[in-house]
Order: sequence, then structure tokens, then C-alpha cells
Amino acid sequence: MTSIETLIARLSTEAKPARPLRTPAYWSIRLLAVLVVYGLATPLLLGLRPDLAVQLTRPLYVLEVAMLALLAASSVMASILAMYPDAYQKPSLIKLPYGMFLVLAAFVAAQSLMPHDERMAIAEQVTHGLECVLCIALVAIVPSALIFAVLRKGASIRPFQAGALAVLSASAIGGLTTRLVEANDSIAHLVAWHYVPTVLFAAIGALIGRCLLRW
Amino acid sequence: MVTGDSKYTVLANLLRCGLEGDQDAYAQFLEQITPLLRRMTGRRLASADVEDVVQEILISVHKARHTYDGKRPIMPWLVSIARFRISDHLRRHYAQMRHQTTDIHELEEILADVTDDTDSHESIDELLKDVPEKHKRILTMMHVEGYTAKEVGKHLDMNESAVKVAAHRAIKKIREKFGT
Repeated sequence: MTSIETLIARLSTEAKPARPLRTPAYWSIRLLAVLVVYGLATPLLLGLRPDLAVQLTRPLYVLEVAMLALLAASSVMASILAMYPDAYQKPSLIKLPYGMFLVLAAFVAAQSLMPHDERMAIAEQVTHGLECVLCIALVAIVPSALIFAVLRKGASIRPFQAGALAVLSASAIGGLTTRLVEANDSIAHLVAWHYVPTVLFAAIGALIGRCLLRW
Repeated sequence: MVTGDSKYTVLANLLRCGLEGDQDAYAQFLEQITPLLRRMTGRRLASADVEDVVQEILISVHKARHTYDGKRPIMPWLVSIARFRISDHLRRHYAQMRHQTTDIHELEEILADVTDDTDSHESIDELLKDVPEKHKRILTMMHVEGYTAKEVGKHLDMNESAVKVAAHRAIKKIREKFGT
């Protein structure tokens, strides 16, 4: 018997009945349901910004919040796809969140060129930049843990990407919460203390993915 | 006539039965994919590595079998796992080659000094005189007989990193001894 024949004999003897992993749609819907509840509850617990009603009349603010929600949702779906070795044969969808993030970043940056809107709340002194980073990070911990717990059920051949997407999604929820809680619409502040840290968190997520998603 | 499509359908059915606990079907599935994996691996790797990598792929397919639900074509799933393991093997291979190159440079520096100072030590044997027997064996196998750290580990029943650490320590000891 050759070593491959021996191996096949061993593997087939070891093979117990295994329940196939559910579809990406199942996991995405289940995760998103939990994350939507979490994403709604967290800003309520932390306290909504006092001028939220005014901000919701501002299309650019609504669009930014909607794009953050879309980024979170698309990243969850993409990370779920990444837990299948073949990305459930939809590999192009894994790239979608990167595109979403670029559009969001360009959208935020473009606002600095637009005429100032009186309804925007600009903090006189930006002294709480690190607090925003901390808020995004703390809010992102629970979603990251949840997504990683699901990803570990699969067998990802893209552990870096899966990890980055999981944390990108969680950071988008953190960013969304911070935008609903903090009354500061300064574009420089948003770029420096919201979006750049989100990229850094995603990079850290890639490293975590490498460690946690080995198989 | 058996077409490619029906062959893949058979493979998918065998794997599905395997997932339900049919060990014979699962063994057949693994047997049938082995020649495919050999061909695929043979195109990208040296023939000496093919059998090892095919075994690694089979183990990976076994570990990831629950990620196939039978609702999509089987070949892209199988090929993804195979490519992943082949790339993994190549990455390890090149990393090992880089590591070995460094070691050889270190040894060459030492050997150059040996030839400069012929009175005190004339041969590699003398150079290795005070090195523990196991370390001496490791150095000889790696740098004289040309084995890789992995192969030495297999031979001496040690893991690869332990072999590298032992080789490094032996070289350090020789350096210290001759003040290089």
C-alpha cells in the first residue's frame, strides 16, 4: 500500500457524518439580524447626538450614514463568502466592500470642497479625536467577535481578507454609532479620526484573521 | 460515454454520500480525485514534492469537506483548496531556501577562517570536535550531505524548528570557539 492509499484509508475511516455548512445567505441574514439590533441599541445606550433631527434633514449626512450601513452589510456578506474555500463561487462579491469604502471615502473627502452647510455641527476645538477612535474600537469588539466565531466554522483560503472584512464590517458599525452619537461633522475630523482608523483596524483584522482562521 | 460533467456529478455525489457517513463512497471520492490532484500539482511543483503535496491537499479536502453542500459545482471548490495548499507549499519552500542560504553563508565564513589558520584545525571534523554529537550530525546532514531542515527533522525525529535552532546553536558555538 502506498502512503496515499494508507492516508485515504485512514481519512475514510475517520470520516464521521458531517453536516454541510449552511449557505452564505443563511449566515449573512443571521449575522445581520443580530448586528442590526446591536447597531440600533448601541447609539441609544450611548445617547444620540442632540442635533440628530436637524442632521437627518441634511441629505449628505443621511447618505453618509446609509453608506456606512451598506459598508457594514456588504463586508459581513463578503467575509461570510470568504469562509468557503471557493467563496461559494462568487469571488467578485468579496471585493465589493473595498469599492464601497473607496466610494464612501471619496464622498466624505468631496464634502470638503462643497459650500459649508449651516446645519453642520463643527466642534470649536477637536480634543476628543482619540475618544472617537476608542468608541469605534469598543463598539466594534462585539461584532468582530461574532463574525470571527462564524468564520471559524468554515475553511477560508483567504484568512487575511476574511479577517480584514470582518473587522471592516465591525468598524463600520462602530463608525455609524459614533456618527449618530457625536455632534461633530468636521470633514478633517471624520477623515483623521473615523475613516483612517477604520482602515487601520481592518489591517489589524487581517493579522487576526491570519492567526484565528488557520485550519 | 462518460462526459466530464457526469464525472464531476459522480464526484459530487460521492462526497455528498461521504458527508452522510458512507465511508466507502468517501474513500472512492478521495481515490478519484487523487489523479486529478497529482496532475494539477505536477504542473506546478518538482516531481519529488508531488506526493507530499497531494497528501496535504487530501488532508485539507478532508478538513474542509463540510464546506461543500452539493448545491454548486464541485471542481471550483476542489481546485481552490488544491491551489491554496500548492501556494502554501511554495511559500514554505522559498522561505526555507532563504533560511538555508543564510546558514550556508555563515558556514562559509567559518570555513574561510579555517583555511587561513591551518595550524590549529585542518578539517571540518576538527572544527566540529567539541560540538555535541547530535548537533554535529545535524550540521553534517544539512551542510555536507545537503538535506533540508525538514528532512533532517524527519530523520532524527525532531521538528523542523528544533533542527534549525540546533544548527544555529552549533554554528554559534563554533564561532565562539574560534573567535569569528
